[in-house]
Amino acid sequence: MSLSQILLVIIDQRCGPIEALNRSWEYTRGNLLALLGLVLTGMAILFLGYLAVCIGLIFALPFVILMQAVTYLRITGQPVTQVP
Amino acid sequence: MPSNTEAHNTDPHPSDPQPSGSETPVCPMCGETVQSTATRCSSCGEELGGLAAMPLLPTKISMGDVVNQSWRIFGSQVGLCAGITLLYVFLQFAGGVAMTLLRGEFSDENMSHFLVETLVGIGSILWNLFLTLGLFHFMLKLARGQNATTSDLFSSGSILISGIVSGVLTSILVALGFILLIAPGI
Repeated sequence: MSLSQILLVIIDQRCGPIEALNRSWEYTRGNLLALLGLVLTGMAILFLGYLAVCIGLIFALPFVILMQAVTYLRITGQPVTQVP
Repeated sequence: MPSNTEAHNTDPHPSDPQPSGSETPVCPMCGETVQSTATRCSSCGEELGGLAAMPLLPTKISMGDVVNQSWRIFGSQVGLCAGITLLYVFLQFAGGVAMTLLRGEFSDENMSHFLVETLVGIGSILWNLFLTLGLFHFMLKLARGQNATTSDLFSSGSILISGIVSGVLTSILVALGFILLIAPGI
């Protein structure tokens, strides 16, 4: 769980892998339970996508990645777009 | 910062862009100096959304909030999300086909089987990682409410090496974690 934000840190902050690892560790501290819940939710959604003859993955995959992006923004205190 | 979140560390990271004072924020894409209130880099055009002024703080999150917000954003952009995913899957498939053709070409030139398989394997991994980083970048912009386009899928070439190294590091650390958990039991 502590390493789950590395890729997004690299993409967003354009830092090196060691720095990204440190920051991911720092951001996820205190959020491990919520992150575990989100990972399990993501896995369940992807599994449901597979069950729908793989066509469901066209919707499940972007939703799970979007969920990771929102998680990263929230966990780093950045604003997320507000949709009514 | 959203009002329903709780910051548990108020020290901004030393290398994060600073909001004010003597340090000038830089564009995360090209490293060019930008104004703290800039929404777009004047050098490379990267959208900043005024975030150059915002220090990143570790923040407590709630699982329900994240799922709800993600669902709302996804619902408002479902066509775009499905479209970019189809493109992503198609490009991965096309990469696979290209690697198969390359494998045939190299095999005809009497190269060693091991070398051909290694080159094709590395090529496949690099291509898939490049596209995956691009897809994450696309979704990050979507979550911020920025203008996400298909060109974002091809915007991660400069961080490919960092992505590979972080993947290797993560694998090593996860393996170490398993060993440390399992070994005492043995």
